[in-house]
Amino acid sequence: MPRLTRWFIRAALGHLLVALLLGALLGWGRVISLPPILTAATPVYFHLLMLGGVAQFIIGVAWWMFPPLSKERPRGNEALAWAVFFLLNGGLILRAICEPWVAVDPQPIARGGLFLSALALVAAGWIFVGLLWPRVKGR
Amino acid sequence: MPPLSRYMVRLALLHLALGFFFGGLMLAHKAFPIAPWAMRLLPWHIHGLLIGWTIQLAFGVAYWIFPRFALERPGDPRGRAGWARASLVLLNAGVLCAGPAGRWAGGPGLPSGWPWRPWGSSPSSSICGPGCAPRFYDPPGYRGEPGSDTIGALSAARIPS
Repeated sequence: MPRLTRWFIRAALGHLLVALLLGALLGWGRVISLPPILTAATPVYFHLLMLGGVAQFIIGVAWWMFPPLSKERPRGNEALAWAVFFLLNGGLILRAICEPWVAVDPQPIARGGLFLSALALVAAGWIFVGLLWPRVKGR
Repeated sequence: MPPLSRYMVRLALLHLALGFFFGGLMLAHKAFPIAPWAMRLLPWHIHGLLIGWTIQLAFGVAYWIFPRFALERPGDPRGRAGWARASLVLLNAGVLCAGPAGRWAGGPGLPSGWPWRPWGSSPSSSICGPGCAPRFYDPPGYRGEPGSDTIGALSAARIPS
């Protein structure tokens, strides 16, 4: 398993753990009253689970297992793949901080952080699609 | 990788690129409310990424990698290709229809106001203003009710259209 895949999977497991803890906490919101910043974190919970956990796990395994590009560079541009890793995780962490923050106290810095996280996540997705596209082939 | 798997994986990647773009637009709109129409992309964002990307990629890879009928069907090692082709067409047609369906039919399978309820009921709802961040699973004319914190309260507060 390549080093980058190991990091993708480790990060995915980390996001999964945090998402499950947050989900449990949000579930308690039906029994006890939670602070507004926590109830505003519902979209963060979904995205940590599905994007940080599930999609990142898939991305890591796809980078490892998909057909090789060539003998010289079997997986394509590795620097760009590392960029995907940092953009995806950086964007998700920034979003996890800024989204509830904007919901309860829309300061310009929080809004800027949220906008930056949107850019980082879109860039991560598009770069990954560009990296994997040529590897979807017969042999 | 067989041709059908290639089509499925490529379509899954297209759904990923489009789903991330729609999600980015909505997130940017949450930061700076500049494009109220962006929130209408929510049903496509959800279905495109959950079904169009995740499930379609699983279909494509499973069709490629799962054990084949080596002896039972030597000329048709992956089973009946017609059914697999039908699943590709139906899945993508379903995802394409999910956007308008979510908008017009009141949101199949999702509770009213999801997932914007905490957002809409928070003190920051003023950053979007009335009608700027609509709840896309609510009927036309619904504007929510300040301080309504439960789905039940949201449903009770609906204005008949």
